[in-house]
Amino acid sequence: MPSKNSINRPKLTTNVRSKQQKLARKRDQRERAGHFNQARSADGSRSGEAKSVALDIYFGKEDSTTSRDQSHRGGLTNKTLSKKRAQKIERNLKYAQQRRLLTDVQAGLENKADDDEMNVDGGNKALLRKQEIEQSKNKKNNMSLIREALWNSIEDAQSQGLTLATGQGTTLGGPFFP
Amino acid sequence: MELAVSHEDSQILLKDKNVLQDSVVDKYRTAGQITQTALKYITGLINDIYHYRTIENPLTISELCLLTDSFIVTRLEQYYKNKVNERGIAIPTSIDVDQLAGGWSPEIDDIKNLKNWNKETTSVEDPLNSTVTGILKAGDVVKITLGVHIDGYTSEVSHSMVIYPTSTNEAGVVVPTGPLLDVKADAVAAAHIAIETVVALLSCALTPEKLPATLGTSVTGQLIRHVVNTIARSYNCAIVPGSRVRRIRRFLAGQNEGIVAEREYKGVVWTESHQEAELLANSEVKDLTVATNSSRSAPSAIPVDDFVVKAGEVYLVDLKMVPLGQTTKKGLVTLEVVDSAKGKSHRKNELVARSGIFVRDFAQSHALKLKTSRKLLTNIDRNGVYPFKLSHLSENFPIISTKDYNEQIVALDKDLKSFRLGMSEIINNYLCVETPIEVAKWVPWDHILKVSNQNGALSYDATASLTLPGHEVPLPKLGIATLKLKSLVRSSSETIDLPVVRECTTVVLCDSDTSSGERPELLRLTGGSKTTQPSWIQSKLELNNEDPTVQGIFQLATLVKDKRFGLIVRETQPMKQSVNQGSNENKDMEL
Amino acid sequence: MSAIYTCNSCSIAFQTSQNQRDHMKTEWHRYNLKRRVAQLPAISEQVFNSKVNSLSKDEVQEDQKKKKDDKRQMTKKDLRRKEKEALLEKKKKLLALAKESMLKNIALQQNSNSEMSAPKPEAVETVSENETVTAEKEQNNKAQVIPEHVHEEELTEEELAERLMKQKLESQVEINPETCLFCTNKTFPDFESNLEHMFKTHGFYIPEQKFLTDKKGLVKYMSEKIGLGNVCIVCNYQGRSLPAVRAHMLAKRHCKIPYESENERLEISEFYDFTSSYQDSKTATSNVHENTGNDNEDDWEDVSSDEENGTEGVATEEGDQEDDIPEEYLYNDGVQLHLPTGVKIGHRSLQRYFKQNLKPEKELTEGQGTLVAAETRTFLPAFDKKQYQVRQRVWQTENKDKKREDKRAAKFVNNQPYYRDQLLQ
Repeated sequence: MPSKNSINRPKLTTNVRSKQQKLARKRDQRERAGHFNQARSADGSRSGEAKSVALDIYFGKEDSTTSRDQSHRGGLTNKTLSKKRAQKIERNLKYAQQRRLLTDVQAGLENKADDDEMNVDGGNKALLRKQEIEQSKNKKNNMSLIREALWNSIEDAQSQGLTLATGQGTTLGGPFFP
Repeated sequence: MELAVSHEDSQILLKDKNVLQDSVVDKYRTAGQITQTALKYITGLINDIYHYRTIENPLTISELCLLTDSFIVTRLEQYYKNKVNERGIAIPTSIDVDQLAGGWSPEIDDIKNLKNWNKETTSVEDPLNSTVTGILKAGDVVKITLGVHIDGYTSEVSHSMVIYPTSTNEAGVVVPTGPLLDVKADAVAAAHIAIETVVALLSCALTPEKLPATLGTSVTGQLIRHVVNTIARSYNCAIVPGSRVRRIRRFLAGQNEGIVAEREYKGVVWTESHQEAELLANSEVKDLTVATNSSRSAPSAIPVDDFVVKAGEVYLVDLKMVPLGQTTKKGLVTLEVVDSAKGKSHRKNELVARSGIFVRDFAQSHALKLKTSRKLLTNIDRNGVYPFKLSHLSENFPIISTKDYNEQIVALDKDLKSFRLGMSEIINNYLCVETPIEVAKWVPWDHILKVSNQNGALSYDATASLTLPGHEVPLPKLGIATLKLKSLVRSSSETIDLPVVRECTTVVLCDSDTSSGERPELLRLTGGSKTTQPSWIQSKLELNNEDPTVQGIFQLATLVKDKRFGLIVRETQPMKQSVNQGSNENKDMEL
Repeated sequence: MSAIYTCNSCSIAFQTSQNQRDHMKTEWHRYNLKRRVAQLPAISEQVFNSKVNSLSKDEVQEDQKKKKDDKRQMTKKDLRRKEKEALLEKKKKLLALAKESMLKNIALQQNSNSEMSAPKPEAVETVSENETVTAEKEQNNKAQVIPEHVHEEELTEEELAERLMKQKLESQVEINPETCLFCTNKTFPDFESNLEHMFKTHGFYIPEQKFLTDKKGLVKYMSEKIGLGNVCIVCNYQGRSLPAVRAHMLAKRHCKIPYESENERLEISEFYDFTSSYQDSKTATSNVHENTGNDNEDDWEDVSSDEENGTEGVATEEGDQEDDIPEEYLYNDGVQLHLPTGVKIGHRSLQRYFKQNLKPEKELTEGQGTLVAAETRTFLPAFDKKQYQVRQRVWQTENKDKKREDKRAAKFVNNQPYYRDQLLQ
């Protein structure tokens, strides 16, 4: 290819390219400045929350950068998530979960220590946390839970409905052909 | 989509044309009258053949269907001629016996084919025998379904009648030997009571203050479902998937359900998912969903119970019940589609048939190769948007009673041959959809729960036609897709066929402007005490009077009876004049 | 040395340059300048003033009728245009008069054709021989006429017409039927060969020959238009003389008989006889009437048409038939020609559109419309093989172009590491 300073340099292509780059830079700037974001008062606004495109894609949320058009919410995005990045997020989530459990245990211990005092809310909190932990434990086997429930209701003889046979029964019609 | 209708036009077609006026009600009423008359005609024919035995040579089911369709078309000729662009048969007459839930309307050339395909079911004891041979026998529950539309204003009816062994009483009158005592009796009772109750409920929508206190304050989808479920449970019945109480509109009378994802669907539907949800409702586990709705349709097309019935609307009440008296365990009632494949996987007791009813899918377009199929397609398009049978497209249809019956049948048979050739190409290119023939099946729940489901809701059944938007997955909580359920039904040895009882009626909720009297009234287009009287049955079960819902149902029944203070329900009567079909019958006897 | 400053156009002298300059700005000077351009002698100031006065009087009289605004806006251009228009109208009238008289003459001539055919052509020939002489005379006449020109307006219309007529007749050049209308001095042995020549070399096409009754008359009329009126037959361009018109017609290829608009057709309609075609349409229309009355399609085609032909052709007169033809049966809307029989003929220029074999647009019935309106399914656009092929071809050419460009550009790349481009210093 001819150099930029050559007399025969392809002016058109360079011009077009520089224009594209210029536009891209501008768009990038606007995006970084947050001009494309929703108004803070909008329903779908996520202002104030931590923003990560990778996490958005991982959780299948709508992309914060492409949400300016209301009709294409959660639709197409040109952002991609690499496999490596996804694995990282997965691992981090696992660690976060473990950390939370640890802090829960600690908090429980502290609360126990404080239990002598009038901390009623704290006790409730701990209870709630406990339930939460249980739920998260069971979340994986949601399907098995449903199966369990269905098994229960199948084997449950009492919920047989309200069939009533007093001997009288029901008679419709009569000895003729309608 | 290639075709498009402008916003203004769609406003007119979907909204303005559905506003109840005197002219509209008149069209509905005329359609209802013709439907009632046709129903009377076919029940009369069946009674003559099997009960009074005045016709020696029994007509087969396909002949009965053809004769009734001809009757409707000749009757329609006299009404709204040159006044409306489209009028005709809204549902081709179908006669389903016992376990068939719908769609049994064989063509005239199917009589021989059916016998050839189903050689295993020739014995008289076989439950499918009357379906295959087309000759009914005592103890059969026969469901007759037919419909008429005038300018798109549709009235449909479905009625179940029982074939009895007959005896002659002291007065010399032929009477049934006794009432039906089988489990089928439960279903007949449940269906009859349910449909009458729902009609009464709908009439309460005109005057909500008269609704019994135990049933709430307004007629909603949830209330309708609750009431129907209560009645079904009382009679130890299950509601077959595909039952519905839905609003119908001009040209949108449920005939394209599953093909067209209809905008603003309003109605209660019963599917397998509701049986699953009901079972789960007893346990403490709630709000657990595994499969998500991946429907690409607009949310308004997905049927939900969250609606209020309003005056000025027209409703189709279509309920199918199966008795659970034979079953010992809890099970799922589902529908199996009959196909004409006779491969290795075919079982001996399975029905082999091809469906006779087709629906055009107008969203599809394709340049057909065969000349016959192109010609047929233009013929179909001219026929309208309602389901049709191939014989309706023939020039020899309708069968005229004054001409020779046999000659007409032979000519019709000849036409059908070329139509079948063209139809195969049309079907292969999805321009038309076959209305499936469905058989009601019962599968025990434990079999479903035992089986592992690796693919989850992702397995996709390309052959499953006519699923409602939002209900593509039959068991969403368990994540069992159509294909899996199909294989489950086939794999269990405990699966049984259940007899189905079907009642269907169309009602118009007229407000005070359009009603005949001062007060708002419910105009029942089809069914009612004159035309669809229940057959003589005796069920051991009855409604529990202590249940508040049942009390509400009893109150409703009394309200409907007392016209002065209660709810006004006006029934459309069949026409008085009888059509000269005598000569036709004579011809039949000579066969 | 009385005056250094002069005005050549007005032939006067001035003492100071200021006077001369002032004079140059006067209307009189301008008028004289124009006269000079037109090779006319200058006029004195008195004559000019009197002329202006008389003109302005006329103007005032005219303008009193009109609004005052118009008067102010009336520029010289407009004035000139109006004058021209008036002159044209006069000429037209004269032409019409001449035509009438000519036609009468022709009629008389035809009547007495058998007796007196010889002397006239001779006279004509003499005229044509003296063509150049007459042209010279004409010029002389003009020179004589010029002084009188000033007084033209004062003459009455009739006098003017007479005079113009006289002039025209003086300068008339009769063109024989055997002579080409457009070439100078090209004579043929007979009329037909002349026509053939004119058709082949000049494209002098005579429309609707089938109905033409008086071919010679038509050509004669055209020759008069050219020879007597010095008018182009197509665009009515008014030439100064016969050679001028001929040059115009040859240069612009205005050698055909115009037969497009209604007026043009009417102009030469007297040489035609369309009665035979009227009979057809007459029967056709009457058939249509009958058809609507009887509703019997098979009968009217063979039976009634014969009868109508026989009876009506005799019974009705020509004038009646002309009146009877309704306008709507034959008209041209620019795209299609609607024939009285109801057949529409498309124009040749739109042939490629008529040739197309398009799928008729699908018209939905109400039921189908309702279903489509209620539909909420969304469909993927169908895979279009042809479109894809087109796109593929575009990609391929793009690739090829790029490669070629690169190759060409690479030729000019300088691979010398320490090369200094002189142009960039």
